[in-house]
Amino acid sequence: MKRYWRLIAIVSVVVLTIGTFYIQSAMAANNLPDITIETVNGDEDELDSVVINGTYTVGNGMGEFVELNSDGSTYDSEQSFIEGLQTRPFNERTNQLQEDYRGFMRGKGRNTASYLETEDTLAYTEVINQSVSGPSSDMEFDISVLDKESGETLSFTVPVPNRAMYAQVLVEDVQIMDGALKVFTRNYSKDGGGEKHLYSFDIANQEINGNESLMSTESQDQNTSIHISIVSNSDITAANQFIIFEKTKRPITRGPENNQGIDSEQPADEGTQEFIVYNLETGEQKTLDLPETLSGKRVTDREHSTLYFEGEGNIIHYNVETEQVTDETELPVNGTAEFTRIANGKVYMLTGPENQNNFQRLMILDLQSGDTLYEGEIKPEEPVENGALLDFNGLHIE
Amino acid sequence: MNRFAKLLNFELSRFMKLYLVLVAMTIIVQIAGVIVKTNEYMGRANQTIQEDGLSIAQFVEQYGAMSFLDFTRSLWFMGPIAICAAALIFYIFMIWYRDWFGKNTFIYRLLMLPTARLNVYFAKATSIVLMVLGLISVQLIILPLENTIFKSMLPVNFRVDMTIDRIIDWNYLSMLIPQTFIEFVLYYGAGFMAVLILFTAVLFERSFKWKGILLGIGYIAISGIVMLSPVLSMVFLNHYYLYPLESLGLQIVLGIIVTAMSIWLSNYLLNKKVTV
Amino acid sequence: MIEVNGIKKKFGRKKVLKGVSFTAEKGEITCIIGINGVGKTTILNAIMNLTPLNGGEILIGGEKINKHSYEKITFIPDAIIMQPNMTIAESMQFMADFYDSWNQERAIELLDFFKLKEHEKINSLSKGNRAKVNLLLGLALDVDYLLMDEPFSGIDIFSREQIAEVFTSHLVEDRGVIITTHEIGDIEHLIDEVVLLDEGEVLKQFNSEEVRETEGKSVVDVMREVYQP
Repeated sequence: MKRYWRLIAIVSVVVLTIGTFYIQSAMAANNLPDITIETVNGDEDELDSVVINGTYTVGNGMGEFVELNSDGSTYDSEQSFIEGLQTRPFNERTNQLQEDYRGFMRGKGRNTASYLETEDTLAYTEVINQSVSGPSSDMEFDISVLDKESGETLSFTVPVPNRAMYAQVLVEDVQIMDGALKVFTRNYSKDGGGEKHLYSFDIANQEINGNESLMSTESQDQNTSIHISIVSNSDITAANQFIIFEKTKRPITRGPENNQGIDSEQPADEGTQEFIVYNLETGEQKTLDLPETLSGKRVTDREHSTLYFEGEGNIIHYNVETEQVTDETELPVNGTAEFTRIANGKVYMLTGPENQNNFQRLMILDLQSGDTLYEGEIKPEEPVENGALLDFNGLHIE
Repeated sequence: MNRFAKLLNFELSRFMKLYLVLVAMTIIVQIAGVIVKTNEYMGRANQTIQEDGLSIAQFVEQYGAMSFLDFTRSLWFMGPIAICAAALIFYIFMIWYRDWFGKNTFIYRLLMLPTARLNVYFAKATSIVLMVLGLISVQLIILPLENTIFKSMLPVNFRVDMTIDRIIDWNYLSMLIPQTFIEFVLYYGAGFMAVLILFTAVLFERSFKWKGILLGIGYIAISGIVMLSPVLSMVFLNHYYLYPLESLGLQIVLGIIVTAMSIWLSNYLLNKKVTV
Repeated sequence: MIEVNGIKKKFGRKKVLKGVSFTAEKGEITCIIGINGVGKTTILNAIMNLTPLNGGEILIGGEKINKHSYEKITFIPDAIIMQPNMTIAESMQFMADFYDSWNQERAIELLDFFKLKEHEKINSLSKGNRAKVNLLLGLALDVDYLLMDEPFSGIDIFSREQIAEVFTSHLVEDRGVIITTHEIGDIEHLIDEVVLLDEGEVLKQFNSEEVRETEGKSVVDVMREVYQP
C-alpha cells in the first residue's frame, strides 16, 4: 500500500475537502441574515398576498437577490439548482402560467405583456423572427389562443403588415374584444421613427383585419422629448376595456458641443403629462382632461377604469370613463412611500428607511376608509455584516 | 490493487513533481498577493488621508472599503489559477505524447500490459480529473487561510468581511466550484467528457498521422455540435420548445452519448488502429 | 506455435509487407534476416498488435492476440521501454506489479549475471547496460514466446558476448524465440530456423541444422545464394 501513497493522498484530499465544502454549505446556514416582517400592529393575515423583492449587497456592488414574504426571506443562493433552473429568469406570472398550462406554454416567451388571461381564454401574441442585427423582413405575429374549457388551442402566424419598414415590433398588451384579438405594439421604424400601433385579428378566420397607427412616439419639435408608456394593471395579463397611455413631454436642454461636434441632449426631469385612453369597445381614443388638482401628479397604480394619483398625503381616485375624481384615500402621516400598489381594495406601501438605524416599513391600508389594516417593520434577525447593505425595491401583490 | 488503480497511481506519480510545483506556486503567489494587495491599499489610504486631511470614515466613503473580492480579481489570485489551468490543458495532450516521443518509447510497455488497453485510457483521463480536483481542493483549503490573513492585515473599518461561501459564489470562482453538489457533478462530468473527446482526437492522430489530425479536429467539432445542438436549434429555429428541466435532461443524454461514443471509438482505435 | 499468415502492411503507398507467411515453434530460435528497412520490426510489432495490418492474420497458439496473451508472449524492442527516470529496481517493481508471469528469482539472477546495480537510474546507464536491462525485463517474464528486435545492434563487444551467452542458457530453454537481425555473424551458431526476407516477401524459410547436415551449407552460404544469385 505504501507505494500507492500518491493515489491515496490525492483521492483523500479531494474527497475530504470537496465533500466537506458541499456538506457544510448544504447543512449549515449560509450566514446571510434571515429577514422577517415584524408586525407593529394589525392583522398578520394581510401579509399573505405580499411579496417584497430586494438585494443584499456587500462592498462594491456584488450581491444577490432576496425575496421576502409572510414566511420569511429566501435568498437566490438558497434555491436548489433544480428550483433555480425552473424559475429563472424570474417571472412569477409566467411561471404560474407555465405551471397551469404546461402544454400551451411550451416554447412561449416570458414577456407578460404578450398574454391575456380571462376566465375562459388564454391568449398569446409575440412577434417572431426579429433579431436586433439581422434583417427583420420575416417578422410574423405568432398567435395562440387556448379555449380553457375544451382545452383546444388555435395557433396561427400572420406576417406583420409593411414589415420591411420596421426594425423592431414589441408587443405591449394583448386584449380580446368581440372575438377579435387586439394587439398593442410599439413599432420602431428603420428610419428611426417610432409609433404605438394596434393590430386586430379575426381569431375564427385566423386573419388580420385591422392595422392602425395610434400615435407617434416621435416629437415634432427638436426641443422636447416624448415618452409614451402604457399604464397597466398590476397584472398586465388581465382583460381591460380601456388601454391608457401616459405621454410625458420633457423639454430638452442642450449642453455645449462636445469634441465630436455633437451637443449633449439632456431631457429635463420634470415634464408635462397627458393621458390618452383607447376604448376597445368603441375603438375611439380621447385625451383626458384632468382637473387642475391632478396636474403634475404621479400615477401610482391602476385598477380597471380607475387611475390612482399620488397626492400630498393622500391617494386620489380618478375614473377615466366618467373623467371624474371619485374618491380620496387619506394616508397616515408617516407614510412616505417608495413603492405603492393598489389591489384587492387595499393600498400596499413600502416606505424607505428614514435613516441608517431605521428599517423599511410595510403598510396596508383600506382603500375606501384609509384605515391602517397592517403595519410591519422589515427586520434582519441578526445585524448585517460589516459593509453589507440590504435594500428592498420591489413590491408585488398576488 | 487492480491494474487500473496501479496504472492510475503510476500516471499520477509521473506528473507528481511538476504538480507539486504548481500547488506550491499557487499557495506562495496567492498568499504573497494578499499581503501585497492589502499593503497597497493601506499605503494609498494613509497617503490620501494625510494629504487630503480626510478622516478614515471619509476615506472609506469616497474610495470604498477593501473586500476580499478586490484581491480575487487581481493577477495575484487569478494568475496561478490560469497557469495551473493552462498546464493541465497542455498535459491532456502531453500525457499521451510523452509516451511516444523521445528515445524511450514507453507506449510499447503500456500497450503490452496484460490488461485492457482501455484501462490505460481511463487511468490517464482519471488522473487528469483527479489533478484538477486536487487543485480545486488546494484552493478551497487556502481560501480561509487567505481570508484570515486579509482580515489581519486591514483594520476593521477599512475592510468588508465576507464568508468563504460568498467569496466563491459572487465570483468567477463559482465556475470552478459551483454552488450546489448537483452542479458540481454536472460541471466535472462535462469536464471528464471533454477530456475523453480530446483523448479520442489524440488517438485519431496517433492512428492515422496527418489524416488523423483532420479526423481528430473533425471529431472535436462533431462532439461540439452535438453538445450545442439544443442551443443551435434555438438560434436557427428562433423558437425553443423545451422547458429548462427538459433541456437539462436532453443535455445530459447528449453528454452521455458523446462520452459513450468517445470511449467506443478510443477502444476501437487503441485495439485495432493505433501504432507505436 | 506462432503462425504468420500472409500479412500485408502499407505505409502510405509503400508496401512494406506483401503477404509474409512463416511459423515459429516453441523451443526453437527463429531468426528473421533482412537488410534494414525491409519490415522486420514491423513483423514483430504486428505479432504484438502494436501496429494495424492491411491483410493476413497472426495466430499465437491458435488464438488471435488478446490482453491475456501478454502474459504468454513478450517483446524486447531495440530501445528500452521503461521510463528513463526510473531506477532498475523501480522498473522491476513496475513489471512485478502488472505481470502475473513476472519471475522475481529469475530477475535477480539476471541482474547478477549482467552485473547491473539495482539502484541505478536507467538514463544514467551506458547503451550496452540499457540493452541488458531491456533484456532482463523481458526475460524475467515466464512467457512461452520472446520476440527480440536487433538485440545486438550498436552494443559493445563484451555486452554482445554476454547477451549471446543468455541464448544458450536455461534462461531461454524451452521458449520460442523470434529474433531479427541484419547481420548473422554473432548468432549463426545459436539459431534453429531462418526466415530470409526481402522486398516485403519471404524468400526462403529453412532449418539451419538441416541445411548444414544435408547440403553442407552454412546460413551465410544460403543467404549468398538467395540474395546474390
